[in-house]
Amino acid sequence: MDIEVSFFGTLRELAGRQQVISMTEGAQLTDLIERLAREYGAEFRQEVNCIEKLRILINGQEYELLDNVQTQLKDGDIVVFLSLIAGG
Amino acid sequence: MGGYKNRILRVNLTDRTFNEETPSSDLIHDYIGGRGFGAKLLYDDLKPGIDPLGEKNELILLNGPLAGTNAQSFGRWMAIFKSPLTGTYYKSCGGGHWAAELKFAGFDAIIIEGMADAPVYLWVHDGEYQLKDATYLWGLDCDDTHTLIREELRDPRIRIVCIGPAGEHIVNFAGIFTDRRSASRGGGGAVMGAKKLKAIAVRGHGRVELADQEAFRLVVRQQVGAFKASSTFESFSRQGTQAMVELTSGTLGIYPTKNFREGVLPHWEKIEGAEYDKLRVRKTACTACMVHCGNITKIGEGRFSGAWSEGPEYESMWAFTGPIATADIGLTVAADRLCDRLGLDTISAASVIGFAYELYERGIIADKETDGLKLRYGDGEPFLKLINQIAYRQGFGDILAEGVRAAARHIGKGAEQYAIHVKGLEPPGYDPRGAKAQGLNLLTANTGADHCSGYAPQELFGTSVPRKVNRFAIKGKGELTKWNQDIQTMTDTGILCHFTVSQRMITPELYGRLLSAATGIKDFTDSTYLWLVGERIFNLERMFNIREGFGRKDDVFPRRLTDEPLPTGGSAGQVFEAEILLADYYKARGWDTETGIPTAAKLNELGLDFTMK
Repeated sequence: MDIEVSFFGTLRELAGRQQVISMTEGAQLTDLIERLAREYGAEFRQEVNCIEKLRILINGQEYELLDNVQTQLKDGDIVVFLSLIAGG
Repeated sequence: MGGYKNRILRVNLTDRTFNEETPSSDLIHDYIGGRGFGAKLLYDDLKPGIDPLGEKNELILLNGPLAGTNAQSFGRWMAIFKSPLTGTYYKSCGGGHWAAELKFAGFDAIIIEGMADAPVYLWVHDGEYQLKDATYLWGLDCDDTHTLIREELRDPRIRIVCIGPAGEHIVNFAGIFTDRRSASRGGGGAVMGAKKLKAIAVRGHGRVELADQEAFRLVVRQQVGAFKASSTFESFSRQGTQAMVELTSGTLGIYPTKNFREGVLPHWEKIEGAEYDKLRVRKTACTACMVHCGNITKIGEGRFSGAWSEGPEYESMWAFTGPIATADIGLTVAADRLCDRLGLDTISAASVIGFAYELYERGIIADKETDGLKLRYGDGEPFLKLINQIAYRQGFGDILAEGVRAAARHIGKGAEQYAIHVKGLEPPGYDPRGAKAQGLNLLTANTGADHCSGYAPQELFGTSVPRKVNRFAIKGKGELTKWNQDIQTMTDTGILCHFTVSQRMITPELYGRLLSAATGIKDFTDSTYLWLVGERIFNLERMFNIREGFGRKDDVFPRRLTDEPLPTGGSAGQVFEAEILLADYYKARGWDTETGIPTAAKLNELGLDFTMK
């Protein structure tokens, strides 16, 4: 299945703006994170591990409100990784 | 008592008299300061039904008890008045350095009454005050007004709040400006212009006394530590609000586009944070603020080469793009600077122009009405012209200067259904359909569709205090909106910067300890008490509006937001479920669900029984 992944903030400098990643059926958010961390190296892993500074949305929803990192992904899902920002 | 100067200056412009008042101990205890003082003073002083642009309206300018200290992010001031745009109570907040300077000059607040018969400005310095002739300043923009007053008084360190041509021409959404920052929403500049008050210049050398200097020093140290430890401190210090577009347009799909018809701006990538990063030439900060979120942005090439502005902040980034569907940073920066010089609120100015673009597209207005300007989406060319026309009330600009609600009535021919506002105030850059608590605040704020009333960072930024929420969910959003509005109101007594509140960089407990160490008032350390004060002030403002005839009938969104689903993007398919959300909110507030009026029990609980007389 194909997952569309977008990055904003610091992660974009490491992984680019947007890409489509093929995952095996049944993959969870944690598998996607692990896959990306392996691909983009230690700095990416460090950023992702600092989870309180990171916001992940799956189809526009906070991952904590779904099944956390165990959220089941499906074909066509849009996953967005954002550095925490502020504004108003 | 520390923190306060215990002096309020009352100036009557009609007979050019001055009076000094001392804030009572009850006022201080029950309302703390800032927005609390302003709400109570305005409620007590104004009779219902008065003309906002007449002699009987007041303009109250205030600092807070922590202004002028080294507590962080309290360098803000507030303008409180009855709004010519909405007819409601209004409070508008500005940054910069005026608030602390007013404190150094010896005052907690200035109340302006009456109307001058010729242009004047007020000069307040080290406890003294006088009205000075402003005839020679009338007609000048905000920048030049600052320059000439400083030259006349021979002191470059004088701090000034003033109006530009828009305020002089009584544009309903003219703001009050200080060194490129402003309290711009709601038409405070029009109130000032109607009073023929061009500016208030302040300068002082006084110290701010503290009740417990050592305790205060320790709490400020804790505050500095809390700011530094905040997860967003670093990024917000670097970018300020300029990293928002990728979130609101690119991710959440709530970037109002084409007069709230869509939630995603075409080509939004051209104006995202990374693009603004390339144009940032300097950082700026308000008094005693380690966050320094302000940016000086300068355009390096293209048609707008050399254009610069302080900002633009997110709301202005949105205002100069979404309403007319352009993604042009050059135009945005030039328009932002133009509004600052002319003294216009960017949100309302751009929204009313965006409204005109839709009317033009639909054929409700044509070249005859627009004096030949062709208002076509994607074309920003007429935009700058209309901003000028609005500020000077020339041609079609004279109609738009009334604001969306009144302009729609004037134009007729069905224009009213495309007028996007709540109580006459044009909403900021968040579509309520994709963020229900954010929307519910816009629907119920005492100042119309005002994001500076109860911002919902839980939905926008995913913050987890008081809890993580689903931005589309309806359940619990009444209670959450009350929570957001009350914490905002509570910290507006300080007057603490909204950004630090929405990011939860500071807790009510820490805020209370700062207040208490400065003032010596023990009750301020009790956060339960602070929440009560926040709720009290919010309800008092509501009662001001009830007294003016507002109620549930005015807590209304245009049908576009309640009936038309967002077509694309991260909030596609969403509408705003106003009836259910509003009922939930009234219940959480303890207000009558039929009328939207606070119940007698609620008013008694909050010590507001005097509003029932």
